[in-house]
Amino acid sequence: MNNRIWKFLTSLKVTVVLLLLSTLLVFLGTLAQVNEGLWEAQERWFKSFWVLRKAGDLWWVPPVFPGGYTIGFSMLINLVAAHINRFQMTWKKVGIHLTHAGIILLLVGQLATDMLSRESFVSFEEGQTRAYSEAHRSVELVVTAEPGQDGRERYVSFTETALRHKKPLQAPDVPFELRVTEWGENAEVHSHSTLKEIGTQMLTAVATMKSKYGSAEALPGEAERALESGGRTAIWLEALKSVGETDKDIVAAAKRIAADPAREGALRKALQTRFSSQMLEAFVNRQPTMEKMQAAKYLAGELGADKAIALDALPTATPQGAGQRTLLIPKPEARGMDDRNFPYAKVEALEQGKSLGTWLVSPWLVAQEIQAGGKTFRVALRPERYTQPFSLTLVKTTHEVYPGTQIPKNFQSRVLLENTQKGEKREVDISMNNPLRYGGLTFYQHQMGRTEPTGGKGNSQLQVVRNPGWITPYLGCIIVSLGMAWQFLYHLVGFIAKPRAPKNAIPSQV
Amino acid sequence: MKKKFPLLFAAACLLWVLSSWRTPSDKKGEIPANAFGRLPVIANGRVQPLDSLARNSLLQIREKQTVATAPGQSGSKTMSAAQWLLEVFFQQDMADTRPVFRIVHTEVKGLLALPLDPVPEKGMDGKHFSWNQMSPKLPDLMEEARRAQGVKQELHTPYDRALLQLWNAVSLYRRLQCTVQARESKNWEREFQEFIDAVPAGREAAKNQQAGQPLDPKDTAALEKLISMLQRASEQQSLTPPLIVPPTQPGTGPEGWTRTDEALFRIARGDTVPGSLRAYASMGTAYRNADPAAFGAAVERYREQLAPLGYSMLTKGEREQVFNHLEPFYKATVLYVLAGLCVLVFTLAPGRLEWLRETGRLLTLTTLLVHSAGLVYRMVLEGRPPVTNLYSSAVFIGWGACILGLLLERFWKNGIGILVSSSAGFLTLIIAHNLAQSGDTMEMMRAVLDTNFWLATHVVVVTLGYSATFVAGLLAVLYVVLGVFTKSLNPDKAKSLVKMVYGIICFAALFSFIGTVLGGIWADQSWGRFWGWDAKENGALMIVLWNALFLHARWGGLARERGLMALAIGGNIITAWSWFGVNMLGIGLHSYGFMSAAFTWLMLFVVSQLALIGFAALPKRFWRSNEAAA
Repeated sequence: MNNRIWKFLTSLKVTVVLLLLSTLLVFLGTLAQVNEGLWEAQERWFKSFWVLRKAGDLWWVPPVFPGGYTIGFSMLINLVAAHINRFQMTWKKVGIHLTHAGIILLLVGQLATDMLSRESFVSFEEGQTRAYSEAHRSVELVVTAEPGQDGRERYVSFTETALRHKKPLQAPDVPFELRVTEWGENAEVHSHSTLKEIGTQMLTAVATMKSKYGSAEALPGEAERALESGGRTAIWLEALKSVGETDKDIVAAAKRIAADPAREGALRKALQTRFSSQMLEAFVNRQPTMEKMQAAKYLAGELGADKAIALDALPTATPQGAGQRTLLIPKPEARGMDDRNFPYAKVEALEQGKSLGTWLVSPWLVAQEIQAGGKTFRVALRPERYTQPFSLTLVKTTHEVYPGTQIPKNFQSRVLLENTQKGEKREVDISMNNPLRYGGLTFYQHQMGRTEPTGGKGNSQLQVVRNPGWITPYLGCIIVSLGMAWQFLYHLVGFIAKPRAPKNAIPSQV
Repeated sequence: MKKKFPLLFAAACLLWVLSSWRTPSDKKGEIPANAFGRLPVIANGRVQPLDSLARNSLLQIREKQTVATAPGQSGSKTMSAAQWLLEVFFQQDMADTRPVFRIVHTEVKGLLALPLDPVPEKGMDGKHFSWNQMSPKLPDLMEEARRAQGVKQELHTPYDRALLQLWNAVSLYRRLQCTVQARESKNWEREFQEFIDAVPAGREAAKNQQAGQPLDPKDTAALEKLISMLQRASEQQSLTPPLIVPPTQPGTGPEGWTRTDEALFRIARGDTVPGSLRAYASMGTAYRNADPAAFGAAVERYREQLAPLGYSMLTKGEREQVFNHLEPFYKATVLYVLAGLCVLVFTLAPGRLEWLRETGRLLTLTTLLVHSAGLVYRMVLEGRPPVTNLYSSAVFIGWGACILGLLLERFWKNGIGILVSSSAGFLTLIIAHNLAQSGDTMEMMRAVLDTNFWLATHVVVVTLGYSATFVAGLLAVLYVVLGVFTKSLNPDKAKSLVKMVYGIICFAALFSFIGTVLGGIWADQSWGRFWGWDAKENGALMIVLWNALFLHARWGGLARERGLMALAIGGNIITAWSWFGVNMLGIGLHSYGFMSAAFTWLMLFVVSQLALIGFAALPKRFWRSNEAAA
């Protein structure tokens, strides 16, 4: 029995089946990226043991398929077993052994990378200094105490996992306990004042616009005015088409419909809807800040769907802190590659069992104060931070494009690297294909921009990768290449020599 | 004779190619279009001769590098790309009458109210139309193009694609037309001179106006002249034409070049007038007056001004023009066909027609020489390793396959290697030719790709892996076709084919593996991860896995001759998927855009290969070669 298992483990048939399955897996996993996004597809197909068909999958997804881990581990077992079984120290086999040893190293290295590597980002403007990097997908709840006598701020942070599982959050230096009463993976938050400001403008503008098309008599005049711009003419044509009018002369058509009580109402309604949605869109694009733009987008969505918004009686999220002045709109978790989630939590602070109140925290909101034990603390939800024993200061950004085009030619960040512990202080350039490796981390040029389109300070985003296993693919590659080259040359020499010399003339032992 | 024929024939072919390896000259008494075509310009971010700009633009607009004045008519004349560009630059009313826009989609023709069928009496072939024929319906085209641009790429209908392609051609045409002068301009040289003359008085007037002082009526007129010219210039600016104004300081690179519109703004600010603009203005007048001597003099004057800027600027334009005229890949395509034909005829009577195999072999060697020369020439022009984009990958795959085929021929001497070389060379160059239609094939590399080290290692090695996998697949196809449909696959030949496939797959496994891992290392260097399951990475991995599968299946004795051949044909599908298919998904870091036209071809290819695998699986009794043996 044992013998049969051993035979199975070492069999070439299993190898071939695994290779076939892995080819299929890679193919299906690539196809899946189109619908599921790179990140999601990667987690589901490659970083998993099984792929199970679920609702919403396209027709080609099989009911069950072995995932990347299953195939990877099986290959590893098969390889190691076969090696133990067939190991022969002859020159003929050296190539094969090396190749397979390298592949084992690559598989193990990839697995290690999967488990040990960590990605984060450093974003800064020219002149700013950072001694930490931030996670892209996870947040932390941070409680900051007043600066101590040495002038340094002290803070404690709680992980996203603790928040999600609503664990009680306590720390020695904090006189209160935090309890998560509500947690959401994604939400929009809008400040009441911004909503009021923009909402009032929008409502007034839309109302004014709608009143223009308030009566049938106004239609011909408006049509004439619309002729001044191509965009407005196009909207008129569309609206006319929607009421079954295909005349390209919009003024004549407007006159005709204005005189037709059966249709004029429909046309006015069509014009109002179209012009107001165009107006709302313009409103969104006109907002100067990200925050206002988000708020305008939300309002445009609500108004566009003809929902009434009571700007003077907006619901509050929590009774304390910024939550009093904030509208919270929970949203479904975004799963696309470029989508970002903005989680939120409502936390209740308890000082010796007595509630101090409930606060809303979200990455959109700034830190909020909590008074306890005669001291002021601040709570905030922010991207999870990884601190480094050294700091980077962005000195200068360079962003070049090819002349007369928008094709990027070079992104480069010049940073000042400062490590007080080691007494190091030097400037380095980080650019595409030219990362900085320092302190077990690697910094890559990721994105670059300017605070304002022309002029303004340059900003840069570096991707920070900690991957203790980074060397394995390099070693694996060298070993496999040596093995394959050996095997190839060995056969080639044999092949070329064959016609002239008898087969056994090739030395099998040198 | 039969002894010397192969060598003589190959030499004659080589001479045919070499005969066009020279700087093209102009006929006396005609506007020197070739001298004009040698002038440097910056388009797509690189210095290139106007000749290249003209050819690449025509490829996008008309899918050909020349213009027929009345396509399909007996009196039609052929204009070279440079001649066409002259007209587009300097005599726009004439250029607007040339039927250069290729429109075949009936709905697009319908949108523009163009005749669907040829109208011989009006000189229309139903496929090519002029600007003037389209212009009444341009607003409709623009509106439709906007709509199509709003639709996700993968949801585009064939109509949307045809529409956007035409819209792209229209924008390109308008962009070219305002390279030197505004469209409305009637006598640019005079208008330009009047503008220059108006600058001092106009600036004075502007200053006074700002200071609130009274204006001299003469100065006001000058100011108005400046403003109207600059208004036109800013309209030109929005079309982003190519950059024709070189920097005045020697030693500045391509960054110093500007567009006409920007130069006009600078002149208005008091800068000196660039000699290039004056030269182009005189060229325009000479062209409209049909005065070759004056035109030639203006070109010559401009070249003298360019000389201090650096030797490379001028010679680069000239070299690229020579390359354009040489057309090495087109000629290689023709020669590959000839070589393939020689070998096909040879197989009819292998013993008697040995001299034909020799001809084919020498011809393939000659073609390889031409193919290599083209490859190296491109590398020198670009200052890059051989593979920089999809187009050059096709050229390179063919080159690698040709070498592999010749190596096989060296060992087996039965014509199969030559057949592989010539057919692989021919097919890949045809693919390359079709890929070239999307524009400049020597475009600049984005920042992340801008590294000659990785382009030279990862990309070259991976592409050689593609080459080898295709060659193995091609050999397997030969095995199946010869076996099923002819009686010529005797056991000897079968055995040699299987051996060839095995050898080539060993090579393919080595190269695709090393190439893939090098790609991983590059990714580790630029993005911080060795492997990111990116679509193109996955494609390369699939080739490695498949080749490994083939080798293990053979070593384990799990597949015999026909099974192995079927696997090798499967390698064709996987390589085609990795080469083209993944780019069509429109995802990942390597996606160069959705190529829908290629999608149909890819599907046809996959179906044909599946059919061949089906034939390979047919029981032996259905194989004609088997009948012969029995």
